[in-house]
Amino acid sequence: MTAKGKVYLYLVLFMFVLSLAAPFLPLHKPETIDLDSLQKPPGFAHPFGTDHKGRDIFSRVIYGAKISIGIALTAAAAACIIGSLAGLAAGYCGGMTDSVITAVVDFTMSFPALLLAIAISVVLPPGIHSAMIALSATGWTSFARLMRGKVLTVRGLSFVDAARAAGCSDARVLFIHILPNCLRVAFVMMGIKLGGFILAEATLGFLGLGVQPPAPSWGAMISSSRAYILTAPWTVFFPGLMITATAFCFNLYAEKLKETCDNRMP
Amino acid sequence: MSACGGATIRIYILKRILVLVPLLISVTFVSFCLLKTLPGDPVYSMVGERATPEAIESIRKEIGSDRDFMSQYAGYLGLLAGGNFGRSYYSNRDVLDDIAAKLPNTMKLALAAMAIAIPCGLAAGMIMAYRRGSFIERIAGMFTIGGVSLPVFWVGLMAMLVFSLELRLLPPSGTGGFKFIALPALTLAVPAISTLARVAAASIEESMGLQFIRTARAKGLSPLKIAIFHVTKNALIPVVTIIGLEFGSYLSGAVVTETIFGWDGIGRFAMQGIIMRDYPVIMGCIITCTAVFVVMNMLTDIIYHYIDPRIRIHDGKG
Amino acid sequence: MPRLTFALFRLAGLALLFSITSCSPENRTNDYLYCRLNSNPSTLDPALITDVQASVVAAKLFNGLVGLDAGLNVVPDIAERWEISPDGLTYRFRLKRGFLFANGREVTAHDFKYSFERLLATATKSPNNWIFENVEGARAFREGRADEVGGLKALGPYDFEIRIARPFSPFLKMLTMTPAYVVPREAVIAGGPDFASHPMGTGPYILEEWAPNREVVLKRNERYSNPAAHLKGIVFRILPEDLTAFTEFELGNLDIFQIPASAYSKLRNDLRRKQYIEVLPGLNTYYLGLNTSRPPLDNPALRRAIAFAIDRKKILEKFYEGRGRLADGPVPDALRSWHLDKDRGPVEFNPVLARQIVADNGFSGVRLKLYVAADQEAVDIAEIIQGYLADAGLTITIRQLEWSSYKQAINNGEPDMFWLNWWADYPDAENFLFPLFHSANIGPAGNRTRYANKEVDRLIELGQHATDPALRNRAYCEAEEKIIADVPWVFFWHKTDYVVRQPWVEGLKVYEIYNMDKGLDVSLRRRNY
Repeated sequence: MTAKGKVYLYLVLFMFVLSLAAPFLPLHKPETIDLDSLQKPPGFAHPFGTDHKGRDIFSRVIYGAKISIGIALTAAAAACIIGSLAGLAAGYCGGMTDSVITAVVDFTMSFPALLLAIAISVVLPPGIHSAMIALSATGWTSFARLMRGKVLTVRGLSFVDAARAAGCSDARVLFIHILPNCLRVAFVMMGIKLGGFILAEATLGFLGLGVQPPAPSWGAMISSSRAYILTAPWTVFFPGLMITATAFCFNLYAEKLKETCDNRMP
Repeated sequence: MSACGGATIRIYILKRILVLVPLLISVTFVSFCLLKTLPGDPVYSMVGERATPEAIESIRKEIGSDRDFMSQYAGYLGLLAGGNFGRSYYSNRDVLDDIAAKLPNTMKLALAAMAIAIPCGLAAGMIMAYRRGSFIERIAGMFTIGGVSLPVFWVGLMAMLVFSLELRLLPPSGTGGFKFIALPALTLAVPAISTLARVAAASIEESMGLQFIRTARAKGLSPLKIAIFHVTKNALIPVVTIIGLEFGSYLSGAVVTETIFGWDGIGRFAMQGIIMRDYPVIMGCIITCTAVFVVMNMLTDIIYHYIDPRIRIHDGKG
Repeated sequence: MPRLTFALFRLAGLALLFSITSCSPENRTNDYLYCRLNSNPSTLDPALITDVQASVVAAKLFNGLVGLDAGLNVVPDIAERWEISPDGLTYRFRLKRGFLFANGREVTAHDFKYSFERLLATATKSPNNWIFENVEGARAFREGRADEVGGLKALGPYDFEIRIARPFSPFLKMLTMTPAYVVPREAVIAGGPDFASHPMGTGPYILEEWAPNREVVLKRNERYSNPAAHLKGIVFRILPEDLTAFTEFELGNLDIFQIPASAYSKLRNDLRRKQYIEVLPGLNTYYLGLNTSRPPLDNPALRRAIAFAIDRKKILEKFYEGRGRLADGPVPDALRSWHLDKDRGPVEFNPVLARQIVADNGFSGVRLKLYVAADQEAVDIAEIIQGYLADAGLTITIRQLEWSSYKQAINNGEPDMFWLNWWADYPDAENFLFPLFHSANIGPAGNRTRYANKEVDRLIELGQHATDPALRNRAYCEAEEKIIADVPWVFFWHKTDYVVRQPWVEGLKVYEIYNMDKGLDVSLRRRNY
């Protein structure tokens, strides 16, 4: 792995760790409402300003990292593993397996994702976990479709035939010969999804699902302040910046990670 | 290939259409189960803030929510067999009519977004793949990464503030022609452009490393010829997949964009249905979206078939 | 099933066709007033309407027997005059001659009999049938024991009589409500279920088009002269996002705009706009409901502590930017015709006392669930309340639910506390007492705190059925004081709304109740794009 790729990962991890350590830092409490300092612009007492309930945005942004990054990471990992396995199986085995998996994928994707998310968040007690599950339940299909398409291409290549002719087992062909060739797209997708999940979490928060108030998640911060974008732009800007920066780091990291797969390419 | 391929395609389409019916039935079943597990009785949203228990009971009877699950489901299937989706609990409007009015809007928005995203995305992807390491590649790379890292409603709000409020170029909301479609389509296209560009770039680069490209190169074919005829064509598969995926997601997933820009599409309609627990509306939207989605997938597969002879649409066997 | 597949194909075909050909007019129509609705009206059949949005539209399409003037007095609408018998049981209305439905037919007393019986009929499944539950014979009719309602009589084409079973003071005011509008039988029958989306009434406007989630377009009813509207029509744009609506207003695409919280300070401080803002002190009460039916909030001491713990005044001034008047009790000042003894319940913020009550009664650390609808303002206030109650030693868990689940939860008494508001349907104190605090209305009928106090029940009933206004006021006053003392609600405020108009809009008046504006005052001076 290149040094540069690691930097982005470290940046995100640093945010995450900082957020875990936040209770021990000299910060305002993220939930403390101060009706005497509503919508104060960024300044000495509040580096990122305060929101329309007088809460310190800087500390909310720090505390929020734990929630937003945590949800995105878990959900993306789960979606990637489930989706990739399904896609590999469908693409490689073909036949009934393919038909069934494709049907399930089509079936899941054709559902309005929101309804699925709502149903899941409602059946499970609301909170961080339900948001994670809701996101991975709707996100795995992208991986499955993409991997299936990729496997279909790779499967026809001569080295796969060669491996099979050499007597490799299906599992070996699949995981040693085909999988490495499909990883790149999966990682590109993973990078995209990580950022996407941070954004999707915001949409869930907007509907009153997932993270419950007053827990600070970046998405919820934006959606609760978005109407004030003209009068108090900092209330939207800083959480937005964090979301964008984090998604950016995830994407760059995935990009760099991609390059390390190269030596295993044919 | 053409004669034989044409026949296979026809059989394939027929098969997919035959599969559509049981798929839709199972979709109705699963959604019906889902709806019934959701808390939030539609009756309570229908009766407002003040209603006698007696009125609530009579409405329950009227919409059939006092009956058991299977008989409700059978009732719904009967309705579908009659060729309609029933009427909304609240507005008493025919759901099929409303969907027929909203689906075209959603399609229009999706097509417009794609019309922006496909050329921009592919161009950016090619630049990134063929000019690896150049300054312009870095810029394009940054932009595409930025594009997928921005929250959709942030892009939408910014676009509205800049183009409507400040520059006064385009109307902030409304459903209609070019003027109205520009902002929401742009908002939807931003992440799609980035996704497309990156997948296209990855895929093109990968194709360049493949055996037959090397062979072509070794044979002394011109780089441009290779780029256009061999690499790009070969790299199209994941790109087509992404286009299909994005398009599918616009059908029901453009809720935020539709809400911000007051676009009268099916996403908002479904969302409204979910919030109000308007079961006929939710079911109608799900069935429509499923059907459209399956058709989209079918098109994607057919395109696969034509752009890559290695992926044949075969009947069932690997 | 083949028909379904066919339908889907038809749909797909239509979709393609539309996406190529459809192109709606992009500019505003001249002399049409452009307004905003936050959400899609659910239905336009007056019998079924329960939401404010639909009532706002329906008020322009229909008329009732009586209406309200700016001072909230009952005034003639289709009825030219009326008499109430001394025993308070018989209401006799004389209708105006020549009052026409949009199809040109004259409104007669039979139309009222039909409309009111339709509201009561079970087949109509109207949630609003409680309006006429006091009418003689209503119960027998609903239970299928009678073919008609005996208490509703058309004495002649222009004479209509309603007999009620018991004297009921708010009855005349209830006749101003949206569900009591008159509808033409022939259109209802011809329309069937489509009447809800293609309504026809007597009003100053006619429905031109209703594209759900997009807009409702009304055009002037040329037959209407009571008086005739100045506008050619009204367009209600359905815009859920506040910022979008604000942008539309700034661009001049909306003529009048009810100011959302987020735009309030901006417009208030805007020197160009300031002079065009109208103030509307609404008939409403915002409250924190406390579930009195089960521990720990069945204990009045704890409820009182909660009321002491919250600094409503500060929240109103700071967070709410003063957009309201502090509430002393459930009844808005404009409807309260008695003098309240303010020492009966907790009014002042007293955190020390609150903490002390909590500690003394062993409630420290008690966990309470606070439910709110997933609406930004509600969530904001819930968070503020949570902060105050934490200071008093109570642990609050907020749960935000989207509207349907929220309503089911509060109707069933699931939460310990909930944030809600109540808006007047008709301008009578009874509307803020009987549905909300009478034990007969526990649950969906309005009493969601499940408050039951026999004495309060008796006093409210006494007021409802009293014919002497002095006796009525005394009863209501006593009931309200008892309610305040029992603290089933923490009374927050009566919200004030602000409406801003464009400079070219003339004659705008704002009204306390949503269905009072019939679109007859406003005119447009000049078109401005």
